[in-house]
Amino acid sequence: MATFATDKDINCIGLPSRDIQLGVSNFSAVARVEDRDIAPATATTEIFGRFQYLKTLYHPNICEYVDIVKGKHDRMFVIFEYHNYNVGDLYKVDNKGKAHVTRVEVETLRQWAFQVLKALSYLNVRNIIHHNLAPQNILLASGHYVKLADYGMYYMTNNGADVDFPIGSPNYLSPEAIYHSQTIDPFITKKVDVWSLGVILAELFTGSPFWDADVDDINQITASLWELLSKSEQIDKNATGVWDSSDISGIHEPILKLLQSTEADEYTEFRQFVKCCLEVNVSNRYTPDQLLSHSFFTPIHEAGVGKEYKYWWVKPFLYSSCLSLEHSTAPDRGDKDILHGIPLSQIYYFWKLAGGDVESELAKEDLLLSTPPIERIPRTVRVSDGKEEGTRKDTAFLYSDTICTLSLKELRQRLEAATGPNRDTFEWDTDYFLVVDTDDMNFLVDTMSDDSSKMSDNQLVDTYIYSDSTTSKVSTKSANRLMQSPSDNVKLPLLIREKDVGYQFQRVALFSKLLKQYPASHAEIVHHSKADIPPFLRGKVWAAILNITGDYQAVYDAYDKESEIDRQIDVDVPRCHQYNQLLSSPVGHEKLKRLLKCFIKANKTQVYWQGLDSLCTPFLTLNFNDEALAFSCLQTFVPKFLKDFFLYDNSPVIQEYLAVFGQLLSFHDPELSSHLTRMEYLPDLYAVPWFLTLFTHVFPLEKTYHLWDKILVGPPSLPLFAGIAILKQLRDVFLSTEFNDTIMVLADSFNEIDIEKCIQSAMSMCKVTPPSVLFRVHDPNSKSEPSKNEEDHMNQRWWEQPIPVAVKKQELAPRISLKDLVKIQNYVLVIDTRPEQDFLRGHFPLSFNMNPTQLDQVAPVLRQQKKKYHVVVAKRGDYGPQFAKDLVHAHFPRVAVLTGGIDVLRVDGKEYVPVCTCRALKQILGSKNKETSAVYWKCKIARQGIFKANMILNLSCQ
Amino acid sequence: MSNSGRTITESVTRTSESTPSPTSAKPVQVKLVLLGEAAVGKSSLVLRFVNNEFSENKEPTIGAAFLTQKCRLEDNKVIKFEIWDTAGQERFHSLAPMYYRNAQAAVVVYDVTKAASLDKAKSWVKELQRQANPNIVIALAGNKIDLVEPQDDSEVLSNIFREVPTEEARAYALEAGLLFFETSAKKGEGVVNVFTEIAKKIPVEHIMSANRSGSRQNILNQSSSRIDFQPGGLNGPIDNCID
Repeated sequence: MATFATDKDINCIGLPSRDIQLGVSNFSAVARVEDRDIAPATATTEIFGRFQYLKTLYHPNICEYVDIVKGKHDRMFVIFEYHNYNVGDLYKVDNKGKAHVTRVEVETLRQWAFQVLKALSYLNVRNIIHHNLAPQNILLASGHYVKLADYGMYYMTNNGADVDFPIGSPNYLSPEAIYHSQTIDPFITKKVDVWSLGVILAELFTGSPFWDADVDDINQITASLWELLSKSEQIDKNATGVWDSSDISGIHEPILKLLQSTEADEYTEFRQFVKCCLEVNVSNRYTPDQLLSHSFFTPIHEAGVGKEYKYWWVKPFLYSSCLSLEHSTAPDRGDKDILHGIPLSQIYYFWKLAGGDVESELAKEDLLLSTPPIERIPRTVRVSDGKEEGTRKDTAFLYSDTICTLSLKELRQRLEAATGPNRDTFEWDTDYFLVVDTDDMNFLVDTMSDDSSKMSDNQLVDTYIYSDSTTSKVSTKSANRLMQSPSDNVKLPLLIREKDVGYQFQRVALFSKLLKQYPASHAEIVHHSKADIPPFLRGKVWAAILNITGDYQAVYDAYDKESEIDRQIDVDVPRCHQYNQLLSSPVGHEKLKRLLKCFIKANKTQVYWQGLDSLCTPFLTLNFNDEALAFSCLQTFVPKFLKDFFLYDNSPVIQEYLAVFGQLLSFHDPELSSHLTRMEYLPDLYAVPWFLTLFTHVFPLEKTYHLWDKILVGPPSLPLFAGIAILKQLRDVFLSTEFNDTIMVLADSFNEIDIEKCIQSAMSMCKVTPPSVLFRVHDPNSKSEPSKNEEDHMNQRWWEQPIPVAVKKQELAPRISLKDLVKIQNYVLVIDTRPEQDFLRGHFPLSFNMNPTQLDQVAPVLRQQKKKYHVVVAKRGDYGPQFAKDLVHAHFPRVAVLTGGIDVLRVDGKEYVPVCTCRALKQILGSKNKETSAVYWKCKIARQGIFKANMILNLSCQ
Repeated sequence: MSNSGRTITESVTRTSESTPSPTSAKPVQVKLVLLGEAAVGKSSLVLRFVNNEFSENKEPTIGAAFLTQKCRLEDNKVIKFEIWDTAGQERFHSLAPMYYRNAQAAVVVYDVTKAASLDKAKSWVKELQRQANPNIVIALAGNKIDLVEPQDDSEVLSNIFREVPTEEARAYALEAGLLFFETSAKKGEGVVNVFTEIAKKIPVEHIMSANRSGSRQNILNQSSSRIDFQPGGLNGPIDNCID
């Protein structure tokens, strides 16, 4: 997945050992008084949106953030990487409330401090401040790694504004963090963490708590901090510094001794380093970056430990899993962990599929906060005489930062069972497009054999349906098998497959592997996607299907997305799919606006139509942390499926699309079409939002994902068939209701539509639909038939002139080309409506001839033929389309009019099928009474396949 | 949904779809169209009228939405409003004639906090008077008055101001021969009034006689008489015309 790879994807070597765990903490956001007029995002929504960025962070010295979940009562659950041991384990509080610290060697402290500062420096570059650095948050991972946890709290809560409790433990918070909490200058605030580090190092070195006070006595700590702060302001001008003054109170003796010692011994560097951290005056304190070059770390730099940090922070565009990186060669163990090498986010996803739920997990452990958390330190007001005013709270009411770890035992068991020797074997039915009803026509199979020779054309349509020659061979083979025994094709419903942990485990593994080889694996990805797409990787799989390559980030960055203001976008974005947690967050609003503005900038001829916002949402929600990828997907998707739909004047395009849609409905469901047409319930009234937004406006996102999974790998006409499938699902209701109720039913039904059934029905219709029936002038994929004789083009080939949209809308039945007619000739009943003399002079083989006004009488005979298609052949400007309309109203299935009528047969017939001039049989229906009787003629060649018919024709007609 | 908000003690009562209207003959169908700039609250107004509901951040309407609601007049005549709620974005303008064609009533909505939305409303009125049914009853509705009403808790200072004075809009409505209302779809103020006043002004007799005269669209379109085609039940729509 070199192309779409994030830092995480490339550097992440997955779960290297069993000591990594998934931790969960929970908290509640501030309950703001809701401003009833503007209805702003709640704090919870804001946190949810801001959190998303944290998921992208990856550094060897920080714990990964995995997910955030909104629980009941607006409780937030944060899931992150967790390790069993942390520096806090060295602290013990005895029963008198006194803390005891285990001493740590200065050499170890050097390593720890270096790694903590590396992490802080990484975070600072991304404008993230820990603000809660404490021994419990410094985790000790295997391989001597130090990993920071809980560093995202301050960031996701908008510097603490979104929660009621202050962030940070008073024991480790710097003076300015408590007394200048309004400071938002990031240059200043990032030094908060340096102070905390200083306190921790001093404690671990001396083996003594920093503060004299009892662990619970917050007031005394804040008083001491206040004293330090005022001292530093007094002696700021002196070079000596606060720590050298003699009358410092509240701090433990050993700590003071360390800070005040002037001895020159092996700890001098360390002392200086700690004093740099504990500089009371924040403007003189070092930043993490400055500290990294402190002489205290000289041994580390000399030993070349820094080489551990040779990670690829810049995205490479070539990556092979065969390339062995130093850190990716984990020793093989005897008992290989099934979760080995799997990224944490995937593990969490599987854990959920295996039935995990963080909220109930915490409830089990009794760790749910039952009341909103209250302040940890008093809100303090600085009064001129140095006294404080504030509320006194004790630690019993504090925000609980207890961490619950999720047990992966059950998941391991389930996965081992699912992949073990007795595992379920899954049939991945990728022959989605090729399953053929033996006595039916499959135009897709047909197109495949046509197109396999010209794969080099790089035609998008072709690659879409039939990814490459090898794939199509495989497919054809299994298609045959499936034809023989259709019962083999039984598979579980999609929704069950998506919830099956064993199935998803295998699918995710398969697609992860393919994505790593992308773009080379493009064809294979398309092929496997036809069965289904694992939801966990959907965003990237879609991008791969759309063939996104190159430096899309640079492309996206090059567009100006900020300067122009579009009022319509501004009013629409806050109303777009707001039930979705990502889209309703302020971060989501900003991202959607940028995406829309970028699309308008990048496509000069396109404008913002309401609905474009909805169209962006699937890509944005799936690639929330990769706007550029979402944009590239949109840029590729729109020209493919919605070409020119967003032109300033898009009405010719949309009107034509709707006209074709109406005709297709008549073709596949004449009864419904006839009923709706009679009520004047036209596609114009209801289908504009369907196609303009490719159903994103009418379906909730979850349904849209499933629909688009298929649309992306399907033929470009699939959306039209999806529309018909939707109507067909509701047809029984429609047929029994009238105009008003029909509209209401339709509007209310979108939540109940079964997408999987809808797609299946759409595909089966698509397969039996001759391509010429779908012809649109504005379709980028339509190729008009090449005209052989250019000179007599205008006179003879009148049928190649496009039919005006208004006429198309009038005519219920679509047109079919001679080429397609010949293909379906074993299934078609050709009805000739010309005068009988003309018919006898030459006609389509095996066709019927009848007077179009006698449909009522002849209809039973036509029905008896039990043909799947009905094609009307007429003369230019004749009654043909009107007769076809009558057939639709009489509920004949798949009615079409032959483009060019008898003329095309005369001109092109030699190429496909010669005109038959047999002496057809005359049949008389009904009584002898001339007024009620009807006459029809029947071409008398025996019912044969096309080849035989041709042979007979050749013999008899010449 | 509770029925509490549905009955109003005015001359007109909204009748629920499920209870048969006892004495009434067939309801008179009135096609009504909502027009106005984007995000002025057209959909919210209809939703308040039809379902007595309000939802914040209602998604934009694309194309149009269709809803119905019945009203009973003093003389027990029932009017059934067939409401076309249209998309507000200027670009969808080309679709609008399809919806206002044959409409007997129109509600043109603007937002009292956006002066520009009244200009757009005026241009809709002009278009309707030029191109729609000549007898169309047009109502002008200034929505979102809740935003400019003094708050109970005066601590919350609203930074949203009225940009369209009531009198200015009223004067325009008078001059152009429109019904005039100010409404709050959010609080439900004045919404029902808009529809009841329209109902009173609709030339009901005229429509009924026009219907009786028999120039039904569906008859015109019925080219094959053998299709099963049952008119709706007692309470269902009596016929399928949209004229």
